[in-house]
Amino acid sequence: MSDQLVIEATGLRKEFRGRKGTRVAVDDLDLAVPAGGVHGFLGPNGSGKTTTIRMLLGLARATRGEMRLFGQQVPAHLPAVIDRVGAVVESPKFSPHFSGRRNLLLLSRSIGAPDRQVDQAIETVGLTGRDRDRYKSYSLGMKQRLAIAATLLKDPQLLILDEPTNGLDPAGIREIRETIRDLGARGVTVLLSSHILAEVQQVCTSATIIGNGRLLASGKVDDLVGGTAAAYAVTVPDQAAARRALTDAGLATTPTETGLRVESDDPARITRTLGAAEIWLTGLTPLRRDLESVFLELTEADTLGQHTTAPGGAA
Amino acid sequence: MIRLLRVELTRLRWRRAVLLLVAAAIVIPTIILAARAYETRPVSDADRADAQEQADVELGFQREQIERCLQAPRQFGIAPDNAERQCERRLSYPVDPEQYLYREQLRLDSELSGAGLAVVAVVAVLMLLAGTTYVGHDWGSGSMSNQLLFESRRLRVWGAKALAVGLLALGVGLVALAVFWGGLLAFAQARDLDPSGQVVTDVAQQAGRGLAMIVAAAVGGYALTTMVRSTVFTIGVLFGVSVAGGLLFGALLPDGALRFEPATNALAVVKGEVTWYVEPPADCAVVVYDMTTTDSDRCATQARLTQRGGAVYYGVLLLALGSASAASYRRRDVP
Repeated sequence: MSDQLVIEATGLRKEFRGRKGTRVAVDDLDLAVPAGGVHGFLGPNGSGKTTTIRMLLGLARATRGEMRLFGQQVPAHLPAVIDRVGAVVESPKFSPHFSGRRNLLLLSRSIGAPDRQVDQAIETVGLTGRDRDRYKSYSLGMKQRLAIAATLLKDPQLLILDEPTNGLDPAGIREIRETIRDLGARGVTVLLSSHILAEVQQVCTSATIIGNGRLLASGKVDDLVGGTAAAYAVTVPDQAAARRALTDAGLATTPTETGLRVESDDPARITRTLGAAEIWLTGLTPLRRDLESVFLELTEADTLGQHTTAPGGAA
Repeated sequence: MIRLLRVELTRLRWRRAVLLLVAAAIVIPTIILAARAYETRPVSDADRADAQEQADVELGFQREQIERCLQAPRQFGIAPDNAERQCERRLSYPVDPEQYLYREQLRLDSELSGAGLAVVAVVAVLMLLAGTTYVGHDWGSGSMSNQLLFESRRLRVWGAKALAVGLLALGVGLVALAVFWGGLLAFAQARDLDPSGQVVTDVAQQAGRGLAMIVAAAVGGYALTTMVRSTVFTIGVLFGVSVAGGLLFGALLPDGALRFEPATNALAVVKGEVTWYVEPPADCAVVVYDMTTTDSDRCATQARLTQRGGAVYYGVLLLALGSASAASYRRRDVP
């Protein structure tokens, strides 16, 4: 296993035994998160993301498999690395009758951090002025901020955030996004589990997609969505003439609200064909696949039981 | 560990439910003390005047009855020719104001098996609830998982919480028992009823044993709730044991059920010894007038449980519960 990896998991499996039998939440999952940057952790509801995170943090025991954080085997050596890991798992969980400040003070004192660290964390997440109010009076967004403040008490090198923007207003989402970006830029490795795929695409440098507890794809975000566009949006004054010319040249086209969608990875061929027909372009936009479409393709295929190989990554 | 212990003590101090239980554990023994002091208060001049008044009323009633008897002796079953002597003889009785002045005197040795036990029982139950609600809240709010994200050594966390609960119970028990027994001792001295050195020693020993039971109850409540992860469930289990446990022991061990009941063993620990009547086997054809008179151990009519027996019972129970709780806390997934 590489020293460059902050999180490594191999053959991870988690079974839940209940009255109705055994349910497999995570099945032979491999996970590798390199040091630095923001790594997205994606999957539909119930795909095993939170269970995986909980196993990494020692809150749940793996049925099978091996996990390492900063090269240390966990949960056996978790105490040696837990001070370097900040985490928000699922919804924020604090004592509802204590103020936000008191909740943070208890946590910071348990690791011997000075009380002023609490003030700094409260200020960083913008809770100054409400920090002495009871936690139960907080909105969901404020609870999320408090949970993020708690992760900052340790000055972590690895931040694991499970749906951190849940309940935040657009301004709050933007703030958190910027905070995550800043942390990533400062060398903190962030594992971001989120359903908001556009957000993941904006913030993350790499991502892992899982479905039904299994790895579907993993790699750099650019590789996952495909490096070059496979289609272009063409805007022209005479749509019908342009369509005829492109079809005659052997290019598949589809009319859209604003123009034509042309299936080709060669923009020069499109411009040459239209130029030869004396049709002058007013717009040519590459149509890239986004993370959402990759995610839906992978997870839908997984639901149908197909084997999927992601571009540029493991499957 | 010291750092964690401090954090847990702070958490306890900030919990309002725990503070209310602590306040109750101090106030209720104080009320019991006040009640015992009042019930055993010395007779005052006002009490004497009141007793004299009641005696006078009684004498007046007596005189009235004798008068009626003299006027209609047959109604009282007395022949008229003999009325003067018989009415007086039958209806007259001595009336002493002292009869209306009965007041129990404060005796520390009596309190040992009375209010002293009640105080231990009340404080033990309140501390059990404190240990239960303290950790039950951690589970209920989900904050336990957050705590483990900062200190992942689960046994340390379990130990720090148990120690904090134990220390709280020790402190509260110490104050409650000191208030109660110290107050009674002060009242006794103020009333010139200086107890003997032996009684004071007995009080100190019983208070020490009571304190141990209070701490055990708090830690036991904590350990059980940590295992079942719910305050309500714990209270349900304890209620079930107190109701169904006796019936179960009675059904399984018809002759020895009391020996295994928690209350009997608690009483043995705190009092130092407890005895109860047992039915001898039918073939023990002995007419027993005195419960302690038996022809052999087999035919004994009195069972006895020593302090040691009770301590072993609770020691084993607490050890088993603590081990199961710590093992469960260490191994099970945390929600």
